[in-house]
Amino acid sequence: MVSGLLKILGVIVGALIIGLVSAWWAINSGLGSALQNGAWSTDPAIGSETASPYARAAVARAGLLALNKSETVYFTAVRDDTGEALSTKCSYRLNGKPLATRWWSITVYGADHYLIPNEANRYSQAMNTVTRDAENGFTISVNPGGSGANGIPTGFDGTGEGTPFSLTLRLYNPDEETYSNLESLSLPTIVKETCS
Amino acid sequence: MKAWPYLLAATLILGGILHIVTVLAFPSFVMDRLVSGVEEQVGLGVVAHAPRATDESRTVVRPSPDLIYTICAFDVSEQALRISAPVPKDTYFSLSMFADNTDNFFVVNDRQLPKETVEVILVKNEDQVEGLGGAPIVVAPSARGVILFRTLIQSEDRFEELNANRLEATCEVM
Repeated sequence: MVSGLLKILGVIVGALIIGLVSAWWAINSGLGSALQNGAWSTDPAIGSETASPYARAAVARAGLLALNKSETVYFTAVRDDTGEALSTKCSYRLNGKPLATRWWSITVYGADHYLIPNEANRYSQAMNTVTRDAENGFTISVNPGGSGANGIPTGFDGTGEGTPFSLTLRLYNPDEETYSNLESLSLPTIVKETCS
Repeated sequence: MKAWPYLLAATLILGGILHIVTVLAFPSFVMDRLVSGVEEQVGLGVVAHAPRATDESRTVVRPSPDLIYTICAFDVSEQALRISAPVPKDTYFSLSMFADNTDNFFVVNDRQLPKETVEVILVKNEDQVEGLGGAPIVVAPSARGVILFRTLIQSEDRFEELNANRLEATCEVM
């Protein structure tokens, strides 16, 4: 009798662990599991009625109130161009070309999906704030203090090992050709320069 | 007869069911928390103007610091909701609506709006539409959800003007 109850309890506990851990892993696997473009990922079904249960869960976790792709496309990067995870202790250079969209921005988020505290209170760069080169391209510097061209701070204070962070590229009112060809868009490159 | 293969199979099947239920329920759980949170602060069918996003903003994940947001949580199970807002000039503005499963079931932006003011009526059922003539009708796929007004801060020297503009947005239970 006791042995039977213990077996049932074992099944329930095991199922709880398997079910909840795997679900949490799936939910946290990110918004961009459906489509990859360089270091950037997205799911074209974000916000739409055709979104999969996993896409909806990922939106609820890391992109609540996201608009559908004809209104706004959201690309997320958690790694650089070599596939290494982005870390607040490192400096990165983003090089981008003009994007066929009404307005764009690149924002830095901490591992908790919120804006990172920094002395400059600067969290993003956008189409209306970046300085551009002669060919209308741009460079964005992402590093602990936010120094350099069009800098965005990651807030790393030099102690400890740094923490993961992510970037979100928003394309508001993208041209139809843009949101119909998300895999082939020329998106900013993300190159690691140094780490402290 | 050995019991462990059956126990293992039962554990995996039950774990799989729990996985599916959790993934399916999670979006509604998060949206319900958001709607309930707004309801506690200002009520349903009432606009709340979020301060500009900073590192202290914790209401919604991944906020854009380049936009200012006005939110209105709704429950149209019994009564329709009239939504209106002035449309700012020369900057991005949108009015969007989200169902209780996170779906963005309606969005319109400034370039699609011919007038200086946007006005729509949100209902749950078509039979609520009678007698609500005038503004365009939007049928919500769920009784509860969220309406969000986004305004792009096109330049810092326009912040006061754009902020004052968005304060005129309204949600009104009919």
